[in-house]
Amino acid sequence: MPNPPSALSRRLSVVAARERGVGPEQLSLIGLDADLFELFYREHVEAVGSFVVRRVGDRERAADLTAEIFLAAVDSAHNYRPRRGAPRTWLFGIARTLVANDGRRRNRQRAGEARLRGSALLDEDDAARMDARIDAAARSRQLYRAMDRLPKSERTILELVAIDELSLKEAAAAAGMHPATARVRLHRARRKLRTELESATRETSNEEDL
Amino acid sequence: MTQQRRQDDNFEERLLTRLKDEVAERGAAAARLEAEGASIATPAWRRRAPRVAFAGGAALATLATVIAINAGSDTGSKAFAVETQDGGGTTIKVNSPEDAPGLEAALEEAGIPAEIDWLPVGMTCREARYKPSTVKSPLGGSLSGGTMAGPGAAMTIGIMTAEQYGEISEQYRRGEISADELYDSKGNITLDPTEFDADQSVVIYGAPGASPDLSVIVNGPTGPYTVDPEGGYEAHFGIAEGPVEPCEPVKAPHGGSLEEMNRAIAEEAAERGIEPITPGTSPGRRGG
Repeated sequence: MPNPPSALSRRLSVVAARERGVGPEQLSLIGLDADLFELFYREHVEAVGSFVVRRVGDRERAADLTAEIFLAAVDSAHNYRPRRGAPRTWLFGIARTLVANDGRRRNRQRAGEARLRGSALLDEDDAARMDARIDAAARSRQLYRAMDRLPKSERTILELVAIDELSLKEAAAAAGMHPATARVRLHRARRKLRTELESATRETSNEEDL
Repeated sequence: MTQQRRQDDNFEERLLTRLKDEVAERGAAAARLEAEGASIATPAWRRRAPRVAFAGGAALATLATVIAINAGSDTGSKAFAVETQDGGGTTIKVNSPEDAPGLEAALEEAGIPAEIDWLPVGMTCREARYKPSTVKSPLGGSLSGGTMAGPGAAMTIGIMTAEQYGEISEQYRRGEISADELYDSKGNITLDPTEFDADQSVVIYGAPGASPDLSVIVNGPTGPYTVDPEGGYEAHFGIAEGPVEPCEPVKAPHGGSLEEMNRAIAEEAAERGIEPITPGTSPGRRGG
């Protein structure tokens, strides 16, 4: 039975992670070791920030979500298994789920309940920087919204490939799909979205149901 | 100086500081637990006999037989106990919803790929995170999933081939082992590792306390029972085909306080004119 990691094995993990980044072998420890967590965080915080603003155009929500994503990673790191994908893929899987459920959760659980509110950590300089980032991602958000009418499974895979530029294999792992299934869904999603965008440009009063 | 301050003082750095504090706290808590180790007392409910309830519906095609298994053993201080059977099978008795990686490793060692998540009280995993599938049961028929709940070792997993189960049944027929022993070895979920396809796995998740699915308690073969104020757990299991998405914890539909649960159970029982079983009374052994 695996025991909690010894201090020595944690140290060794930190050394290994400093050299090569936090890999699948060290990931399960990021919830227990602050140094290892820092390495993991620095490696991914920018990608996570971009991931969020490609979907969310509100600075405070983006900050809250960034905090929630890393907190969820800390919470579930001990359940990580390498077959769930590389650390980045796994983290994107968490991010995707949290962003997708954001609206619903925000209605139910608000300020007081959250363990750590990212938006409370923003200052004026951050706000300006974040707004610039949010502006830069406007096109991605437009695309993200256009995907609204796709079935969830197709939307997920298209989102990860087209917006987050994951490879098909990475995206399939992040979405928990077989690569073959993912390929079929991606193809379908692209076709539908193209039709949708074309018809939207041609005729705004198109009432066709999907 | 000013430049140094600018670099360290932004949202990402402040967030990192807060998150590191959180991680450090967890690390310290884990180290404390490790140091206390074996001295953690066994809660009384883990030593008491359990009641087992299966969710009905599509879940259990042929496993209509439900057995309350014996939990009077002295291995109750561990989250789970692994026993190797004479015929080569393995039985894993889950005493409490803890140590998911350990249980996962034990199942995998016995040849069953598994994804296990134990959650805090009142939580469950968001549904539809894997493609449901079925496997052939060594007892005959097929198995796709179910829910177990009870104030004890609600879930016992027997891992054996159909041949091994056949051999145990023969021993029972010849009177060499008792019905209890037969039930104990096959558990209330029986899995045959040779029947699993390469991309199939077992998904188990649950939480301490009351079952979020009230119908499991009220419609269970043991009849309605009130929830043990000292603990107990509920566990869902299913067979997945292909990858399993990570568990996203969500509030369970009936994961309220014990008082709320017990009130709901009492009301439901009264409506049906039946008496709920209360913890501490003997549940008896059921089978069939």
